[in-house]
Amino acid sequence: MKPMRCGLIGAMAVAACVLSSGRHSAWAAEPPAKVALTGARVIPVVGPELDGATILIERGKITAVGTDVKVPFDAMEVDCRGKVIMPGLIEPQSWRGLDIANESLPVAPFLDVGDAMDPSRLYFEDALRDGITSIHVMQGNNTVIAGMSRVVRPIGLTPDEMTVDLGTAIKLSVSPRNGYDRMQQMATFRETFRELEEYTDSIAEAKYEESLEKEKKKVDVGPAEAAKRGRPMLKDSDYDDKHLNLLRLKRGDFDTWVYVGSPMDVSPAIALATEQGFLDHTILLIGDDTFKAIGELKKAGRPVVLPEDLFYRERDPISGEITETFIPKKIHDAGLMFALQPNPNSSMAERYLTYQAALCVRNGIPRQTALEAITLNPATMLGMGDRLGSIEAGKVANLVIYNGDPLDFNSWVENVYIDGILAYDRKDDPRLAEILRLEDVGRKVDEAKKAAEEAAKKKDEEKAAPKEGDAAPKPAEGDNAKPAEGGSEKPAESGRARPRRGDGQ
Amino acid sequence: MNWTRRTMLACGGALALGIGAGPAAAQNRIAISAPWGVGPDGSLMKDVTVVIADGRIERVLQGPAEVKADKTYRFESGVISPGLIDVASTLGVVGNNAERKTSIEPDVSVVDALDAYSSTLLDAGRAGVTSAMIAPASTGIVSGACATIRTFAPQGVDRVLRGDGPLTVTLGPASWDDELGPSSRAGVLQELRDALRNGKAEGGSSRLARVARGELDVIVDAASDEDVDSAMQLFGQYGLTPIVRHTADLVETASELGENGGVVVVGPYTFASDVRLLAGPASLGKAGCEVAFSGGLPYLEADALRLTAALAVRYGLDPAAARRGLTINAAAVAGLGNRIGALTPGSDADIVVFSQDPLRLDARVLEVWVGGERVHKAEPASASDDDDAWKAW
Amino acid sequence: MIATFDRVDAGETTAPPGEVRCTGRSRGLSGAAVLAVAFVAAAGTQAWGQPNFGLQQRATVLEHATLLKTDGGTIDDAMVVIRGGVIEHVGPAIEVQGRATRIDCKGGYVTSGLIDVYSALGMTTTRSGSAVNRAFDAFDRYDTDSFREAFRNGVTMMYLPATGSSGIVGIGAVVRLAPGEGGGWAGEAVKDEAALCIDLGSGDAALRRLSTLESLRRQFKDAKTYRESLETYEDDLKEYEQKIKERAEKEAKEEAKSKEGGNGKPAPAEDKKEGGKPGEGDKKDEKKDEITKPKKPSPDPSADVVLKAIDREMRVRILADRSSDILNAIDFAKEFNLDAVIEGGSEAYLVADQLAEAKIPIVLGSFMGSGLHRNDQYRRQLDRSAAVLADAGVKWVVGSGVSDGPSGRFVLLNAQLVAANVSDVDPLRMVTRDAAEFLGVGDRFGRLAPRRAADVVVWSGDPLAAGTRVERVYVDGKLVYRESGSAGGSEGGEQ
Repeated sequence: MKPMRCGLIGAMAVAACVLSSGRHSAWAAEPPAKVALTGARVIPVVGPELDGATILIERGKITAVGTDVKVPFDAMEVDCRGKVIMPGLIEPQSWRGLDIANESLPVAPFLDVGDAMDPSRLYFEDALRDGITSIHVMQGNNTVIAGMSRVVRPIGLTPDEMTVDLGTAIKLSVSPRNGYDRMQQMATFRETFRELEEYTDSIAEAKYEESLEKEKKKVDVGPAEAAKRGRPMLKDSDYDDKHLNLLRLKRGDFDTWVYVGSPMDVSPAIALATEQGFLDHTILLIGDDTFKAIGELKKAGRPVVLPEDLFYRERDPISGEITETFIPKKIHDAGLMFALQPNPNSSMAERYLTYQAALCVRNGIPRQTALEAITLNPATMLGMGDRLGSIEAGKVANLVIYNGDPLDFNSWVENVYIDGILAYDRKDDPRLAEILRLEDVGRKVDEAKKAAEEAAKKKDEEKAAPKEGDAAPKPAEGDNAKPAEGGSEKPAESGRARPRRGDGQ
Repeated sequence: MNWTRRTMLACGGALALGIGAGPAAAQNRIAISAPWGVGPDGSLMKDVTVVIADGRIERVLQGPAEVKADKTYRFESGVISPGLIDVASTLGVVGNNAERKTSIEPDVSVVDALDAYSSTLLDAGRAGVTSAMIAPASTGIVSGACATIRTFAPQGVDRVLRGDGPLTVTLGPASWDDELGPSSRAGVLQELRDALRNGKAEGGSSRLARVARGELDVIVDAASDEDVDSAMQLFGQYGLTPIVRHTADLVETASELGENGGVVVVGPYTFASDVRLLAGPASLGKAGCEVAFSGGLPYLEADALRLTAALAVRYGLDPAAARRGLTINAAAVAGLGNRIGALTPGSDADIVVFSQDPLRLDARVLEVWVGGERVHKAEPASASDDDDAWKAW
Repeated sequence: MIATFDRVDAGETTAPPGEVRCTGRSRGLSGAAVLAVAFVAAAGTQAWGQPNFGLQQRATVLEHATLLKTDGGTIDDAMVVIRGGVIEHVGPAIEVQGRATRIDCKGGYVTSGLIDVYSALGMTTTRSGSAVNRAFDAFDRYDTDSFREAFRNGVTMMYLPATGSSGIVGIGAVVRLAPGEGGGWAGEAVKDEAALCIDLGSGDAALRRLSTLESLRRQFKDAKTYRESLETYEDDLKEYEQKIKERAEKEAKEEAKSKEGGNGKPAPAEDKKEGGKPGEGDKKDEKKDEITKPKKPSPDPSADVVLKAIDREMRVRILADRSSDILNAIDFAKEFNLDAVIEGGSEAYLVADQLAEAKIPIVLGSFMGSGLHRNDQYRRQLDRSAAVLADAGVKWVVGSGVSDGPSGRFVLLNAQLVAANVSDVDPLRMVTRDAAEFLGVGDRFGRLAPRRAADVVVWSGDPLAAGTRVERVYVDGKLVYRESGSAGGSEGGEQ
């Protein structure tokens, strides 16, 4: 669970030279030590929203937030008037950074998503573009017990570079995996934990005998007693890969994220977690109609990750009527902490986390709760609530700058700061520019402006000095390509490895 | 049901006085009496005696009655019922009963495919189903004429009660056949209209002509609400109210069907049937529409007809309406309402004595009479094992 | 009209007030103790059979009801009192103490909830087979549509076998449709391990059935062998532990001696080779001291389950429809001395005598087969099979069969179909008292009697008559169904 900061900064220096993907034009030679974002509307998520506030960032951490923060003389000031700043959004779980969602082994706790993560995936680029600064990469639901997950930043060239937190959680599914029915799924759980006990006994016994050997003693008790005596002597290194993570699961070294796709899965999940002692660090991933088990969810009191589709529609078998349920409302009314996910399957606005939050507000969830559901709540669920998820002094400077209120669909992400470094600048996003033809638009605007200016100039000149002829210099073709006001639109070619705002704008 | 009783008594009394007991008639007279009987309105009447003469029901008496008869059968417990009628089945039909040369085959008669020796007929009969209307399979638009047959046919009693109708018309996906004919709903309706128009123009005694003149009844297989609408409209023009069958979802169309009157054929239902399907007959009943039950014999067990009725009752259909659905309504669908299906004077003496209300599944057939002759007498039920045999093991 | 039977014995009366109601006793206790009692009582209800009296528990009084007597008569204008999940009184109307919700049954019949001994209600699809698989894991406690239909037809409890494959399929469960907390349905497993389910695959091809049977025999034999090896291991273990204990004592003595001798030199017999396991392969001259640790047989959870069946701790239900399969099942049960029951038994009437001789009961399923076009396994099913079986002296009970979930609601209708062909059989009793006794839960369920579980159904008339509807259903004393719409599980009293 160590943030890879040192490696990151070093890598960035290298990246500045060799960057080829063009995704993150963010790499500078050295990030500024202090950055002050001033004049913005700040949504800290904890505490009231602030107008005309300043956020001071030092060495990648937020050191101050407020309306009366003094900007140190050596801080690079970024004028954010008219903008809105949110904590970086957090995606509570996704397998999309992996090459496949699940392995074919039903019980594979020894896997680590880092081994299958592909940093070049467009998924990460899109996440960054949408203001997501932390992603919990975890295996999918088609499993019984899957492997270890990681929390990553959507920037970096290697999985290790991207990783913010290693070994965050282990994935379980109570809903049956493909080819299994529920009987087999639950039997597999029982067998796995039973076998763990059996294995532990056998290595404990061996350990005890080993310890006796060291003292040149012979075994003096039966296997059962030997195992009992040997257990306290066991170290993690005594376990093999297959069993080690199961042991750590029971011990609570990391969290368990359990998929409960149907209402009938909740009770067995809670029972299993209670029996094996990991209920306290269980997060439940619920499916489309799991909310029907709201009573059991409420009783367990565990945080919940909502499904991608927030509406559930059902047809009454007798009357034929269709009822629609807004899932977050049910969960919220039960007093449970929840996190939202974007819906990548939707071709519409549900693909954006902010839209999901806006949907919540529209359907009766308080704005504050909706904002927490995309920032602080997932941070807490990932065990990183002390570092991520809000704009407070002491937290990591993961920030998103919008050109308007984040829950207003007319707003977009302008800039994203990760660890205090400008990781994304919309103006300098070549792929987005290409899609939106920003440069064309910009160019056309500029050309139109120029043409108007020239026409006006010409008129003046004709009025003023008609004998001069072609004296009025016509702006060359190449000049037209230069942006009229520095920094607004830039041609695609120069999107790479250029000195960034750090040098001053 | 007091008015029924009084009427029956009055009628019975009048008839008793009216029909003199001539010596010749007295020799064929049989009286069957039981503590209960099924009335023409489907309700259960107390202390019923049915008097049979010459293969017909002569009169029906209620209350203690002394009847002069050659033979009297008195049941200590039981219910006298008209023989049950399965209004849509394929009993006794041999082989493929679907003619598919073209999509309009009005002249096919399913009665030609009847195998009178089929054992399925006897199975049905022993279960109390004394008649069945058999239909050609619904593959084309007009598949031919249904026929109504008896399951038991002792000497002198007609096997075939009616062979020329009603005419079977199918709307809905079953009739959309790419090869033979139209492949769309609009196409089917068009063909049908054309056929009827031509039939009317031609005149004569062809079946379509008779339909067009409103002289031949039609039974329509309608798979959905729209098909029911179309059927009502189309045949309404010719002054006919078709009998509707097989509509999957009755709950929505119930009120409409109720307005149009007529009888709707429903079923067969099994233990696996959908709730919405089972609730259909009750909706029809509330809308004032009558139902008649299809038992799906012989594909289903012989008891499937009564099971269909019992399930409809379980889901809200009035029991009397259900009993009508097994008897008089089915007869009406077959166009034989004045001949079978009710214990009324003048009807054929097709009678079944059940041990209890026929809607109860624990009722068994005690005896079956057809045309005034007893054709089946059930073996006594075997005794069950001892109550406390449990502990013995 | 027609006589029927039920469970209220003429001699049964309600328990004297003092014994049953906690309210009387607790008045003598102090406030704190009273609370403590309430807490304990509330906590104690997790274990079944312990009524939750609590204080001031509200009773439900079903008055002006008709009850059926065992001798065939009825008790009119009777009363059933339910309190704390338990039936308190059954019989003529009495004065009810404490708060009560009164329901006027208007002459309708009150019976105990119907029990289906062979059902698939609420089960999700299963396809795997293994002795460690449990049917209850595949039971969807949120299949509210099915449950509503079950209640509409008076069903409150069923036995659910594990299904989906041939051979040993899994462990069946008895599940009661008791409501859960917060409005969700719970479905409580009254018996988590009701029976070991075996399917002989009557629908399979002949060779397949042969191999199923063989594999079954092998698994049972292996289980026995496993037990033997465990027992041998236990003996060896005892011996081993004894030996090492002796050795340890010897060593301790010698060490003490050598200490006295001053050197602490270990005696030669104590020398051990490094790296060698204790007790294994020591020096040649210590062969006689060699103590080998016995090898523990690897645990086999499947075999443990099979052994329960072999020990008759768990019943074995064998699904077999063909007469040949039934005969095989009889032999199999005899070979391993199993408490066996045949399920399905479509052709059982052909081998009725053998069944009677082996004293193996049958659980019959749906009596409505598919008529002319049946599957091969049902091809010779007779409608009168129950009668034939009864005549031969075979014990049979009727469930609804497992062909599909929704059929389970019609268990009473199915029982009536059976009753049509066998006289003196009460279909209502078959699916209440007989079913409960067959499932081994007859001490708590299946009868309207004081101290029995309050699973009660209020009908609009005689349950067996046509046109009767279910008006109310109570499970565990809670109203779970009311006609024209279902009452939520969390609603207690109403009106």
